[in-house]
Amino acid sequence: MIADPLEILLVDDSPADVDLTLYALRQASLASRVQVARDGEEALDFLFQRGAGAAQMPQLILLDLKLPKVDGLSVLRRVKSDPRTQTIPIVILTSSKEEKDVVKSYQLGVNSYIQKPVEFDKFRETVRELGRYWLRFNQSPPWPCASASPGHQQ
Amino acid sequence: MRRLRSFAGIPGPRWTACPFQTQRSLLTAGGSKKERMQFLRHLFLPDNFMPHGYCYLWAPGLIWLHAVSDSAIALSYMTIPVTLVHFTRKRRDVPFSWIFVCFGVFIVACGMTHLLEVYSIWVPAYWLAGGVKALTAAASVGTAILLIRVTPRALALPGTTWLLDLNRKLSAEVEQRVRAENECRSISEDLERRVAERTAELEAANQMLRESQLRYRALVEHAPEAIVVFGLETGAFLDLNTKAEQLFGMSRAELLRVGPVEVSPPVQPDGRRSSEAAMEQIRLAIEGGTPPFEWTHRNAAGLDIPCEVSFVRLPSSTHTLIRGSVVDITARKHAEEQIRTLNAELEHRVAQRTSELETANRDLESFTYSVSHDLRAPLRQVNGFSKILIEDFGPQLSSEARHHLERVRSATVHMGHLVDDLLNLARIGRRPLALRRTDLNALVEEVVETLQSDPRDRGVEWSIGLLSLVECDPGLMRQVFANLLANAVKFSRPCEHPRIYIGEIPGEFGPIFFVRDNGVGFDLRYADKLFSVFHRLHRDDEFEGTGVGLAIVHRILQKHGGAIWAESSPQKGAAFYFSVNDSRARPKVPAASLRGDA
Repeated sequence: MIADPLEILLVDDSPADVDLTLYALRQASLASRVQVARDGEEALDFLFQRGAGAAQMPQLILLDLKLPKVDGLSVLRRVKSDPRTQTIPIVILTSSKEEKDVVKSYQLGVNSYIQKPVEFDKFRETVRELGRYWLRFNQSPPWPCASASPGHQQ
Repeated sequence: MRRLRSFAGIPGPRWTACPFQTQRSLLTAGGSKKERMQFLRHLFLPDNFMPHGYCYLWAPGLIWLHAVSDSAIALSYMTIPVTLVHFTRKRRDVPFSWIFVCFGVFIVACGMTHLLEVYSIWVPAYWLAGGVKALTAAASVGTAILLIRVTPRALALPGTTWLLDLNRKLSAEVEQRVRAENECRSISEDLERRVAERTAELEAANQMLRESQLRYRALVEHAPEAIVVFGLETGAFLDLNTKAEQLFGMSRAELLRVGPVEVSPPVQPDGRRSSEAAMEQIRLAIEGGTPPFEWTHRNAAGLDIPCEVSFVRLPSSTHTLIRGSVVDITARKHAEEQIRTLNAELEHRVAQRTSELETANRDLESFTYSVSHDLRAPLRQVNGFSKILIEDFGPQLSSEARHHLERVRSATVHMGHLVDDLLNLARIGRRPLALRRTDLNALVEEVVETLQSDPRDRGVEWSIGLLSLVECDPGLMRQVFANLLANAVKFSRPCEHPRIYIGEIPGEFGPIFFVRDNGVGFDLRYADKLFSVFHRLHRDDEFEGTGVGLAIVHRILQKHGGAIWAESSPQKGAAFYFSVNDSRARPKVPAASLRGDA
C-alpha cells in the first residue's frame, strides 16, 4: 500500500503564490500531501505519465489559469476529457474573475471557480474553507482501480 | 287805217280766177318767181272780194268790237298753246300729252282764224281765212274725235279726290310701312347686334379653345418626358411630342410610320421578346392602366436606352388609343448604379470600421484581462507576505515596523479595490445593454439587504418609495443602486441617525429617481468633476473609497441614455437625482437643500 495518498495537486506558476497557498494550507492542516506543478505541462506529465497507481491521483486539483506552456484551460480540458482523470474534482483558483474565463471553465466541466482574494486574511480563509470542503466534506469519487483506502474516506 | 280804208274803198272785181290754179301751176310747173309773188299777193291781199267791213257798214263801234274781241281771242288763243306746251314740257309724265298738242294746234289754228277775222275786216283774204278755217276744222274735228277716243281712257284716270284719298291712304300706308320698316330695322339691328354678340362669343370661345389647344399642345410638347399616342389597331404611333422625336432620334414623319415595338430592340434585357412583352403591357393598360414599368428602347442610332414607361388608355369612342409616357432613365440608372457602388463602398467601410472597432474592443478586452490577472497577483503576494511577516515575525519587529507593514498591506488592499473598480468600469463600457422592464423596488430591496449585512449599518433608517417600472438593464441598474446606496451609507455613518430616502419624482419626460441621505454632504463648489474617475471630495482618512463608484454610475446611466446630477451642501446630506431613459430630464421643481433631520 502506498502511504500518504496524494490529496492536492497545486498547479501554479508563481512561486510566491505557491508559497502563500501552501502557507495557508499548512495553517489549515491540509498541506500534508500536496504536489506542486509549475506549469500545465508538468501537471499533465504528472497526471498521465506517472499516474499508474490510484494512490498517485490527487483528490483535488487546484488549478491556476495563467500558466506558461500549456495554460490552465487546456489542462482542464485534457483532464476532464480523459476517462482516467475526469472524475478528479478541479477547483480553479485564479486572480481573474473575467466572465469569459468563468464560462469557459464551467463549460469544460470545472467543479468550482474561485477568485483568489488580494487580502491575505481573506485568501487564507478561502483556502481553508475550500480545502476543508473538497477534502473533508465532499465525497470523493472512487478511483477506477482503487480500493477504498481509509485515508480518503472520512 | 286810212290806207286800208282807202284801199278798201276801191270796189271792183280784179280777180276772178281761182288762185289755186295759179298755185297748182306754181307747184307743178315750177313757176317763175314772179308768178309766185303774184300768187302770194293774191292770197294775202286779194283785191276781188269785199272785206268784212262792208258787212259791218264800216260802223266803227262794230268794227272795233269785232276787231278787239277777235284780237283778244286770237291773243289768248295764241298764248294758251304756249302755256300748254310749257305744261307738257314741264310735265312730261302727263299721259296723253299728244292731246294737248292737238289742242294746241287746234287752238293755234282757231286763233289764227280769229286773227284772220280781224284781218278780214279790212282785207278780204277769204281764201286764206277759209283755208286756215279748214285747217282749224280739220284740227278741231280731229281733236274732237281723238278726245272722244281718249275720254274713256281719261275717265279711267283716277280723279283728284280719289288720288288724294289714295294719297292719304298711301301716306298712311307709307307711314305704317315706315313704322314697320323702322321696327324691322330696329329688329334687324337688334338681330345684328345679337348676331355680332354671338359671333363675338363664338370667337371668344373659339379663341379660348384655340388657346387651350395650344396650351395643351404646349404641355405635351414641353413635357420633360416623351409622350406618344398609338392605336391598337395599327400598332403605329398616332401622335407624339418633340421629346419623343429626340428620344428616338427620328423625325415626326418617320415615327408616325412605326410603332413602339419598332423602336425597341428585339429582346428586352430580361430576355423577353419585345413584341410579346409589349402586348402584355398594352393588355394591362387596356384593363386598367399600368404602373410605370421599365423598358428598353432602341433609337435610330442603334443605342439602347433604358426608359420608364407608363401606359394609360385614352378615352375614344372609335379606336383603342394608348397614351404612353416614356422617360429616359439612363441618368437615373447611372445614379442608381452609383448609389449601389457608393453603398457597397459604404458597407465596406462600415465593415472595416466595425472590424477596427472589434479589434480595438478585443485589445481592450485582452488588456483588461491581463490587468485582472497580472495586477492582482503581485498585489496579493505583497499583501500575503507582509501579513505573514506581521503574524510570524511580529514579536521580533518593532511596533513601527509592524505599522509600516500594516500600511503596506492596506495599500495593496486599496489597490485591489481600484483594480476591481477600474475593471468594472471598463466592462460596463463593453457590455451591450440587456434591456428589460424592471421592478426597481425589487432591485433596491436586494441592494439594501446586502448593505444591511454589514453590522456597522444596521442602524440606518431606510425610506423607500414606490418606484416606476423602467426599461433598463437590471444587472447594471443594480450596480447603480449599489454604488449610490453604498455611498449614502458610507457618508452618513458619522450621523447619529442616518436616514436614506429612495424615491421618485415626476419629471417632464419621465420619472426622476433620487437617493438622499442626511450625511456629511459635500461642497458643490468642488463638485464639477463629481462623476469623473478617481476624483474624490473627501480624504482617504475620512472616508475610504476609490473615486470610481460615481464614475461607474454615471457611465451606466449614460449608456441607458439617462442623466444624473447631485445637490448637496456640507453637513446637510446629499441628494443624487437620475433619470434612466431620458437625458433631457430635469426636475420640475428644483429640489430644496436638505435639512438634516438628525
